[in-house]
Amino acid sequence: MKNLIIEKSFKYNDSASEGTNKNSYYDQDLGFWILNEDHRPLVLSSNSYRPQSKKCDVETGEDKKGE
Amino acid sequence: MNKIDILIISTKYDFSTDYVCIELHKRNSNYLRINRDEFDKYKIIFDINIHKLEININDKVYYIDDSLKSVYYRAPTYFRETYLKKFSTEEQLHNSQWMSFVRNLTFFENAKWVNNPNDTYKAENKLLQLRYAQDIGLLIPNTTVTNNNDFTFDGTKAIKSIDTAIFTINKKEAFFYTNILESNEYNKFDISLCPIVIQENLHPKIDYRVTVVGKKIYAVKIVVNDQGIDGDWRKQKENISFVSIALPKDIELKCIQLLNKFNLIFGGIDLIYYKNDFYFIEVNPTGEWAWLVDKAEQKIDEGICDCLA
Repeated sequence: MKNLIIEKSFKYNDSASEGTNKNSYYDQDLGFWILNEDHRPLVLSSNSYRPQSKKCDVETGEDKKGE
Repeated sequence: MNKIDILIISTKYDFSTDYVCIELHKRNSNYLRINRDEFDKYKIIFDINIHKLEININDKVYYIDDSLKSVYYRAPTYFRETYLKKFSTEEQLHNSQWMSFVRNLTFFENAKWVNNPNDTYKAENKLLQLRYAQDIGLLIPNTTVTNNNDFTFDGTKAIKSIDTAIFTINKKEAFFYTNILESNEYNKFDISLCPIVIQENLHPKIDYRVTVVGKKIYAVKIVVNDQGIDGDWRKQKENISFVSIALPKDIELKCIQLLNKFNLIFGGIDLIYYKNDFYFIEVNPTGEWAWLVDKAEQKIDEGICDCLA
């Protein structure tokens, strides 16, 4: 018999990768990402890298387990 | 040298932490974000005798001492990275020793930790969560944990892993969501490899996410077309709504009591509304919340900063 957890798990098509965004940069002094274009914080823009779903559609658990 | 009042421990790509730092910046707070994936860029000198930690980042020197006011800790207490890849010797050493360093920042025990990793470690135990929830008067689903293939049930149950189950199958990432299984299907599988959680299937249900920050409660119900979602709502990607709601006062109070019991300041609690009652499912001490800032206009970032102030 096959293991229930393994068989019933959801398989993602591609490995999750870190969200690098060429249109922004990380400001160490401020501690947040800034858009190149208008120097606004990335997460306050309409940029798709801001959190729009619970785990950006790749579930890894809630304690940053899958980083 | 810059003295730091609020320390943020996170990773560079954790956009939830961005919200907190933006709010702290707005408030002119004296904060520093350190990222665990950038430790190789930092130079530290920690003088244990005088309780002073110096951090040099890009030739700017910051220091932390016993006057540190608070810490926002966005980091795991359990490591589950082994599924991703094989680490080099240097990476293994780097990861284990820096992670210990981060945990050892609880040296600054007079600071207010949101949350303290020592408390998070305890609170991550889902079965203990159920016990504590029941102790304070929250309803919990009937729950059995077993790896015994002889264990069977009638009807339909919610099958869960005892802890986050994330692994690779043929180099692809796999994640075990809650599965609703009928006994016939369940009986086809082997469960002897590891314990699983077999829980009463509360159906029909409405899922609630309750983010507790200090004494503040941010609650949403999770629906599609104003209807509850069958099974694990995280699998639902389309038309999902997170609707801000006010919980009954006694449920709010019990949520706060539960966090107090674990000595947590922050927690993302999952509840299910079933047959006119709320059932406790789990609490996530380092749970996600940032998507609710946009999707439900909940100012959780401000709540966290209020706690750090």
